[in-house]
Amino acid sequence: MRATLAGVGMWGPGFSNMAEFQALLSSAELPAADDVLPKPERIPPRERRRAPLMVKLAVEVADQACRMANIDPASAQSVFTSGIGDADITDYMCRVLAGPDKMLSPTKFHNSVHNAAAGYWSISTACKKPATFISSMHNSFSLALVETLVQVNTENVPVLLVVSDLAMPEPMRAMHPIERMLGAALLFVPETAAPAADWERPVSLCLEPAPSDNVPWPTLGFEHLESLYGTSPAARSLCFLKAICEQTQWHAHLPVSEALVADLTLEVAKSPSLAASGG
Amino acid sequence: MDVRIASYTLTSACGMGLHPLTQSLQKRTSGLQRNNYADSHLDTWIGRVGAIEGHTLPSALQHLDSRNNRLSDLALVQDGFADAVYGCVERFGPTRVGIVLGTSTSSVGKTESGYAQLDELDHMPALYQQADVHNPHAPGHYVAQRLGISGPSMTISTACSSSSKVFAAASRWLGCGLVDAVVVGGVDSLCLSILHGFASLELISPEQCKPFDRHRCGINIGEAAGFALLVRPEDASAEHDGSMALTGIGESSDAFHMAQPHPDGQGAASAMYAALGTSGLAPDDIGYVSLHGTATPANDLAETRALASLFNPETLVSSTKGWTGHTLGAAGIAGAIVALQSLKEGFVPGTLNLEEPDDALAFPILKNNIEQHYDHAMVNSFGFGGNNCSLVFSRVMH
Repeated sequence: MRATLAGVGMWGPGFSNMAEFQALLSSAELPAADDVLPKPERIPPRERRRAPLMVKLAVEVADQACRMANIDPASAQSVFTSGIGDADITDYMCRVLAGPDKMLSPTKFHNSVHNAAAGYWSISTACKKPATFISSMHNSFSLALVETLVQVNTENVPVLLVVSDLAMPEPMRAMHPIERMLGAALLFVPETAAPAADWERPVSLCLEPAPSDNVPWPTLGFEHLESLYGTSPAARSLCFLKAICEQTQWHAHLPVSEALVADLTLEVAKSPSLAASGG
Repeated sequence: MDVRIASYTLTSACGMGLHPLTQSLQKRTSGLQRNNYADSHLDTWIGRVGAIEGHTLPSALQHLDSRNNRLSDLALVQDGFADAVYGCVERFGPTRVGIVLGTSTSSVGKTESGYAQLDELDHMPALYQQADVHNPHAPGHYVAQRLGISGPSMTISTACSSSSKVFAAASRWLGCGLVDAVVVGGVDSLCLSILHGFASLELISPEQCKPFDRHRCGINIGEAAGFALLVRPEDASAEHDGSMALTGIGESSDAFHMAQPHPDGQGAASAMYAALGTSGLAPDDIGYVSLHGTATPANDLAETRALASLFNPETLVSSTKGWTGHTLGAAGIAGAIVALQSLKEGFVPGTLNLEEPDDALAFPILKNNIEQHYDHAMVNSFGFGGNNCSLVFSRVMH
């Protein structure tokens, strides 16, 4: 399967866009301070007050990717993914339900659905295209890439992939030791689509039997990001984000299941003028 | 579109497997009972699967124990479903079989229990330290382990449309040649988050739910697990059921409100329209529409408006939530399997508990069961976040 990567958005510890992520890669140190919280202007103020962090993080990176691709968000289908989901809301709900009165906030309850970010995104962009939320624990990012490319190729429309996971509240941390939030978005368009932006990276992907059982994720090579990369399902996207910044062809095997890998190639950027003339 | 259904099953408050389901539908006996779940103490009715408490998972999978996974485990072995999957695993290889399951709550009931026993350091007891249970993919992971499948496996969680969208995703996977067979399904089980969450929205009915009735006052929460095995037409062998096909899928977003449907059912109508489009059928070809029909005032009104924009009022439409309750992330697969049994057996279920249809409805709703053979059924599921999915199932003409 092939598609063209036309836009990227990202937000994580020490970075709130692609330029800052590039700077972080060369700084060799993760900022210790609390993460800066996203305040996506895409969400109307009235809705934004009700939106939880998980939603703001996902919508912020989604919006960055659409702006970079110079594409109307309402024209894209979307695939949202997360390894753990909105752990802040799970924590809130489970604490209230462990108490005597069990009175939940109705807003927090409707925000607790795993497709909350997809819902806020569609409302904020007036996008009536199909939206989904998929999850596959540590392989959430690779499965979402597969699902996104499947949708691009079967529906022949732009498809937005949005991945996010939060820092875990204490009761979840022994199982999911995620210390920082990270969100990323990749906007893919059909290979035949006329270029809308001045930056494009062709991508190809196919499923292959793994050379051995339980193939590890590719080595990231940045010590200050290894802990996050190894613990946060959303941060598995870092290998792809790093490859985008490096601007050379990148070929990797991403685990999809215990016996399958996604054979992925991110090609070098092609000039839109060449693409338009079929070159 | 033509994707064959090689095997299917449903376990719900109406019983385990297809036989008790069909009996309940035909005899119009509800599976609902007064709420007796854990310590929820809410004045409502629920659709409970009684066998879950006494069931244990296979010894190698005990570390994945949760109410939701027990429900999957019970349902997988009904109606020869697991054996049909093993046949596909043997025929195509374990990496050529995929899994796409839908859920709304995954195993959050287990997380709730863990939180109820937090120690002074805010840690759950050791028995609850289950990384592969406390996450949204818990159902997909469990079913993959249980059936020995190592193809791509994902869990869709788009609230109440989750296990309809699994059919759409699986049909694309088959179309792209990613896999040769897909186990689709949905599983959701009773938990406090859902009971008290819907109570906070004042959408829980103190009586048995009455879809489309003028006195309807909300939903009953139910639990269910259902599965279907999807293959390409050329791979549907004679020993399989094979006589049923998925022929249409339609997905849309309302882009309107997080917890309210568009009042005119615009998103619902566009999902139904898209499903008709992929099936190549006209509205009059549809013999029966299994409705989302939750019995909330807003859903039922909006859904009839959507129907009125597409269908001839003589089209038979009903909700079966009065039998099973609203099974949330399993509502899509429950509706799908009711529709498949209806197509196969030649009867159309009416709407249990509907006595006086609401005057404001924009489309007539079938109250009583009808014996009737027909060829194409549509199934509607709509979820929070304005997430809609409609499916078309057809009898295969020989």
